[in-house]
This record gives sequence, C-alpha cells and structure tokens, in this order.
Amino acid sequence: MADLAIPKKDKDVQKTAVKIIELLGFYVEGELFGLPLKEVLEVLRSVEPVPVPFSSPLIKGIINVRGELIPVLDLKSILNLKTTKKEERIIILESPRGKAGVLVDEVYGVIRLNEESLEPNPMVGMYSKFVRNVAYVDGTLISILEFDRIAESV
Amino acid sequence: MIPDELREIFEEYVVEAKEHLENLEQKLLELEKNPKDKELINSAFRSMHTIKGGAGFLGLNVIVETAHLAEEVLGKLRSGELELTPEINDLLLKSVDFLKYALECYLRDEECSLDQELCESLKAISAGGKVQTKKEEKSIEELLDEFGLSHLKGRPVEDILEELVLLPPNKRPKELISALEREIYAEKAPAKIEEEVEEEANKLMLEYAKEGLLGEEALEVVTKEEKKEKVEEEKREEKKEVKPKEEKKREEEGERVLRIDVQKIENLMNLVGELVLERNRLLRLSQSMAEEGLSKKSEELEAVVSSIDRVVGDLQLAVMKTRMQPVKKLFQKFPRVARDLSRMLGKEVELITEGEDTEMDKSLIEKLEEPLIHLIRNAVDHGIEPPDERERLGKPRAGRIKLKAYYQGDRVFISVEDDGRGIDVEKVKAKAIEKGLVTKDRLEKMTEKEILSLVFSPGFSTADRVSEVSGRGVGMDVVMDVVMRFRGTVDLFSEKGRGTKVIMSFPLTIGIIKSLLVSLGGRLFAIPIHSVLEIVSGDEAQIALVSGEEVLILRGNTIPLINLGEVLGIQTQKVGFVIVVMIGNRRVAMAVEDMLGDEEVVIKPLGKFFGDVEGISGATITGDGSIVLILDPVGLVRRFVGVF
Repeated sequence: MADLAIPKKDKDVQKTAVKIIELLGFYVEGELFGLPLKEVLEVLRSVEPVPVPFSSPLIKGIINVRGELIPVLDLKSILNLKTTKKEERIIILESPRGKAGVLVDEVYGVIRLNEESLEPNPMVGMYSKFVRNVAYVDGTLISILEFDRIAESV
Repeated sequence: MIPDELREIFEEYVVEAKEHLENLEQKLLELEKNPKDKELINSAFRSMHTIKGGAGFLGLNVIVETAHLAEEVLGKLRSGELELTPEINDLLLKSVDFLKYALECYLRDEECSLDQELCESLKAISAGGKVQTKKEEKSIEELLDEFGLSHLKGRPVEDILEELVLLPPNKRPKELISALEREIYAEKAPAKIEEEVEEEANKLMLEYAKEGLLGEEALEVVTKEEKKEKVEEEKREEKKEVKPKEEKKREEEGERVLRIDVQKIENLMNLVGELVLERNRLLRLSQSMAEEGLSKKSEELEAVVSSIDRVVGDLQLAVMKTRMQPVKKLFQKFPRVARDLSRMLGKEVELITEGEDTEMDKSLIEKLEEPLIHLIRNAVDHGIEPPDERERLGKPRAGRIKLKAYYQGDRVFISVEDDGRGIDVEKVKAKAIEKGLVTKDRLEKMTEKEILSLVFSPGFSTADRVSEVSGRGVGMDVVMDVVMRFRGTVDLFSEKGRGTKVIMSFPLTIGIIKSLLVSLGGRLFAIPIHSVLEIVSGDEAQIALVSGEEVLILRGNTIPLINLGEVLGIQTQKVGFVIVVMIGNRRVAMAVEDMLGDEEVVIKPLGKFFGDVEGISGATITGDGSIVLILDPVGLVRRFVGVF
C-alpha cells in the first residue's frame, strides 16, 4: 500500500518542526476518504453484522470482535451515497460513544500528510458536514472524515 | 478546586465522609428515640469530628465551618449542656444534608457556599438559644400580658402552669401552653436541677392533659417521653451485656474488609462471563466427541470437563458474591424519609425494617432506592391515616410501615407493607377509565387483583402527582420500570381499611440468565426463561381470531397472540411453537418458528450507540461465536400492543 512521503519542496522546512498527520485512507463508492489513524483500532475483513430490530437504520448491526459486541455503521447511508459496490472491510474506531465499526469498500493504506497541506473543505454537498478538511494525494482529492461527528449523527 | 495531587486523597475522603454522614444520620434518628444514650452521642460526635478533620486537611472550608458548628452542638449535647429536642435534631439532620450536598459540589468541582441560615441557627443553639424558626414566636411574657396574666411574669414555669390549671378549661390559653412547652424543651440550666424541673413539668402537663386541657400534641410528647425513658433503661441494661462482644466484633471486621475499585470487580465479572461461555462450548465439544466415539480418551476428557464445569460454576458464584451487598445500606436511608415526611404531614409512623442482612447485587441496590422511596412516600402519604382517624378506627395511633427483605428459592424479595387505609378499588377503576387505560367492558371482566395492578401503568397517576388526590399510583411507574429492568416481578395486595403490601422480587444473579433459544427465519433469539410460563407445540395450539386479532385458546382461556417474526420484521414460514410468557400480571403468547432448548447466557449491553432499545435487553455470544439477541417480552409487548 502506498505510503506517501511528504512532498519534496517541504523537505527544507522540516527543520522548523513540521507537523505530520497520519490517516487511514479508504475507498467508498470510488471516492477516497481518510480517517485519523490514531482513532483507528483495527481493520477487519467484512462479516455480516447481526441486525438489531427497532434501531437506527444507519446502524447495520453488531459484530463479535473477540467477545466484544461492536456496532457497525452503514457509512454509505450516513454519507448519502448509493450502494453499488460490495463492502469488503470493516474499520473499527474509537469514539466518545464507544467503539464502532464502519463498512468500507477497500482500504488504500496509511497516508502521511503535512498538516500545512490540508485545505478547508470547499464543498457544500451531501456529506460536507462530516468533512472539515481535504487534501491532495497523488493528484486525487481525499476527504478527511470527522468520526466524532459521524458517531453523533447516528 | 481540588488540586490534582490531592485528588486521590480527596476521593477517598469523600467515600469515608459519606459513610460517616450515613452513620451520623442513623445515630441522630436513634437518638431521637433514646435522647440520653451517651454512646450514640459519642458516635455522632466522632463522625462529625472526623468529617471536619479530613475537610480541614483538604481545605474544604464550607464543610469545615458547618461541621465545626454542628460538632459544637453535639459537644454540648454530649456534656449535657444541651438537651436534644426534635428541633435541634432537625437542625443537625439539616446539617448532615448540607454536608452531603457540599461533598457533591466539591466532587463536581462546583462552587459551594455556606448556608448562612443554617450556620446562624447552629450558632444560636450552641449559644444556648432556641431554634430560630421563621415565624417569630411570642415570648411567654408577651403572652402573659395578652391573656391578662401579667402578675405571673418572672415566676417559674411550674408556677405558671399551676396557675393555669385553676382556670376553667375553655379559658385556658392554648398559645401560652405551647410557648411554655417550648420553654421547657429549650431551656438550658445545670443539668440536675433542669431535669428535676422538667420532670415536674412533665408530670404536671400529663395531669393537665388527662383533664383534656392540652392539645393532643402535648399529650403525645409526654407519654412518649415516659415510654422512651422506660424502653431506654431496658435497652441500656441489655446493651451493657452485649457491648463488649459487639465492639470486639467491629474491630475484627474493620481489618477484614478491603476496599476495591468497582471497575476491577466489573472486569472480573466480564472475564467470568467469558469463561462461562467457553465452558459451555467445551461441554458441547466433549459431548459430541463422546457421541461420535472419536477418541478413547473421551471419557477422561469428560471427567476433566465436568470438574472444570464445577469449578467455573463455583467461581461464577464467588465473583457474583463479591458484588453482593447487604440491603442494610439501602434500608438505612428510609427511617429518615419516613420521619421527615410524617412530621411534615402530621402523622405518626413507625418504620420497621427486617432482613437487613439479605444480600443483593450492588447495581440492584443502587437502583432500588428511588422506587422504595416512592413506595414509602405513598404509604405515609396515602396509606397511613392521621393519628386521630386511626384512633377512631381502633388502630394504634402510630402507623406501621414494614420494609422487609428475604430470599426465597433463587430470588430475592423486597416488600413494603403498611397498616393504613388500603387502596380503593373503585377509585382505581374510575381513574383507569378516565385515563383511557381500559374500557368499561374490559374492566368488568377483570379481577380485583388485575384492577389493582393498573396502578403500575405509566400515565396512571402523572397528572395527580402534585395534587393531594388520594389513591396510590404516585411514582408507581418508577417502581415498574426498575422491576422490569432487573427482570423482576411486582405484586400488589391491598385490603380496604387494613393496609397495602407491595412485594417485589428479583433474580439473585444479574449478569447471567437462563434463557430459551428460539429461531425465526433462521436467526436465533433468546427469551429470558423466568418470564416463560409454558410452551405449546404449534400443531396443538388452538389459534382463533377475536375482533380481527389472533389469540391462543389455552384450556378455555384466551391469550393475546403476537407473531414474533412479524414484530421483529423477519419472514417466517410456520408457527412451530407458541410460547406463553408472563408480563406483569398478564399472559401473552408469542409464536415462533422453532425452539432450541435453554441455555445460560451472559447479557452484554448493546452499547451507547443503541441506547435503550425497547424490546431488546441485550445480546449474548454463543459457544460458536455467533451473536444472539436477548428479547425483552415486556418491551416487545409494550411496543406493539401498547399499555394494557
């Protein structure tokens, strides 16, 4: 998986303590998203969650991770995206409401970014309320999700 | 407000201070019955002193100041400079309340200021004054003037009283008598003389009372006092014999008790839960190995597994027991509730507690406080009649409320019983119709017990919560809520004019439950077995339609039937079994596809993302790692049928 180095022009400034942020990049319906790596606990192969009746439609169900019950959130519904691709992975994250998993199509890998290269989210769209910053990785736009907000929205 | 380096010490102090405050409250209430018991005063004094000391070290000024003033009053009570009156006790209890509140404030890092009124009153008492009441009482001198008895000014109390007796009964000034009464209690003087004077006065008052001079209130005070003195003497004698042993015991206990963080026990509990699940898996494995005759060693394996089974069972019980606490801690809070409330309502109530050593799960004990307060409040407010009325009815003046805990089978029971006026079934009926909880037709078919159980329905009483309308039901839905949450049951018995009894029962173990596994559309669900009454095979079940809804006809009874698959949104093929469950006092039948027997399961909460899902109490992980949802029949029915 691509482990992105800091763009070259930044190397000279590195003496002045550049802040690096690490993201876990993943694809959902062809779009590249990122979540702060420090909130990510693990990545699992997708299993079918057990649905819980009478609960929010944004929660797919619960899964058993080594004896622990973890809710799995339907990221595509939360982000208002249509489901055309199969979700292959579940990313388990820590949130103020406890551990939770999100269903994603494919994991891109760890992305390291200079904090200065982050740009405020210019878009007003379906899921812009969950994205504060965006950045360019290899010429592709990556939307950095704020998991706390996602967790709150469920 | 609390510096970080002191935080740990502070937290320990809070735990300790709370214990001391609880002790204080208990001792003060006992003191009210035995005002002269030195041991009680000493114990209260020591507790207050410890609270003050710790607070001083931590710089909790508000606590230091209040505790100091209260300690001073207690000190004077100890030295005999002051006599304990209900007013002083009220004030001391108020100080205890304030200290509790102040502790909470400090704990939450909130600003906390002194209760000036309380401090002033405390100061006034230690200075020998009377308790400041908001309404200024007229002095005896003024009253004498008012009633044209100014020639008695400056004479001792007994002289005034003697003079009063000579007046014709209808001309005796009531106001003056109550002022004198206050004087007798509040007056401080060198102990011996004072006591003599007081005794004399009491005797006089008693005589007057017999003549019907004094209000009933005064009579009560005097006779009670006499009784108390007698009881006290007897008690003291008893105590002398018992004391040395008791003290020794207490010392030993102090060394045997170990404080443990609840979190550690919780972790232990979880681990044991896992272990139980793994054991179940092991059992199944060894069984199937034995059946298939896979190995010659399978017999040996079976032996090992069965001994592991036993050890795990014991371990589970032992860990469970670490969470068990005697209900004493809970019961201790209620004499105060009953006392304050009965004083406020002008009733006499005696609260008797029984079975204080009965142990219950910690979480249950914590959650039981609120419903019990409601039940006791109901008993005092609506159950127990005013003293006069009781007398007329030939009952003892003081109402009796019995709070009792006991075991029976694998359940623990808590009951609250009063000897008051009971619940008026007709009123319940009227109200149930008014609130639209039942129809008139339905009501006619209900038994008295069923009608009584209507008071537990949510919404039965909310509107009358503030008003004084008689009839129970205030906060009864709170009771029901806790009962349901802990898979308990509640029964209500009431006889008009004789009293009311509410009995709650709970399973002994909280975290692990036996449940029935059922399947719907290929998915497994667990139904707690304690609510299952019976299981009818689908072929034999008589299912009929009544006004468009399915019912099960069982031995002549019609029981509403719900299709569990439909309720949970799962497609089902057939009705394999019908499970009859008990909900509150009513039966409901649930149709399922298949049944797979019973299993012990560990309840795991669904977590914060779900919150409380009505109808589902949690989930469990089975031996093969799959997830099974645990259904809550009460919630399911409430969700789909509504309240009934």
